[in-house]
Amino acid sequence: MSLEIESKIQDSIIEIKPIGEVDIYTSPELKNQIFSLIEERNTSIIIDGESLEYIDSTGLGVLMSIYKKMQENSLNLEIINLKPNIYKLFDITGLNKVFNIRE
Amino acid sequence: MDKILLKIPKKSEYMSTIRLTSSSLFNLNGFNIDEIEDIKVIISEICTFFIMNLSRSTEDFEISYQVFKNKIIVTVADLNDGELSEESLNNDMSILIIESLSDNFNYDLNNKTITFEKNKIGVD
Repeated sequence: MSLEIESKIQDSIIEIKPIGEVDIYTSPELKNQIFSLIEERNTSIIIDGESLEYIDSTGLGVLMSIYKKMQENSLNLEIINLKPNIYKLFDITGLNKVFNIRE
Repeated sequence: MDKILLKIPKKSEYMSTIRLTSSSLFNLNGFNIDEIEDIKVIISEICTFFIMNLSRSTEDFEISYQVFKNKIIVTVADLNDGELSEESLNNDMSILIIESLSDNFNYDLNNKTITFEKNKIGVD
């Protein structure tokens, strides 16, 4: 399984849905797509983890870089619908305290 | 004890193959879904650690699985030349994750190997 990325604009917020696995091979694609959307739209982002099956430390690093970019532009980043096995990694690394995560 | 060896190119595109192979083996040996999810993360983070910290990639990864009744011991060796520093271990998110999820974790910087164990819950 590789990675597909769906995105849509709703109420001036970009909703991004990664489908599949984010690892050292696929994380550059996620970073490029989301950074392009931020450049184009300059608006808040919701990342929907409903179909995110796997993420590794490089994927978490990409999310951190997106978070920093959003902070620089005074925009909000929210992460929703993470599966328990994915949330576990946010917990281990302490990133659950950095990101705005809701079920 | 059964021993299985996987020799696979040190390329990021093979990471999903390594995860799939590992999950299949642990599933065959009766590990539950949560344990298998942990295995996928640990094995992937070890390979990611080597890719990020040891740039040479002409030689393969050699991954060995020692299958016991109550546990599996996995050793990942990066067969490439080069050196790993102690500092790379201290500042790495991969290592934090591996330490948290594995039952026993060891590394040998000189031989560029990382070993971990995963115990089967409820089997002595």
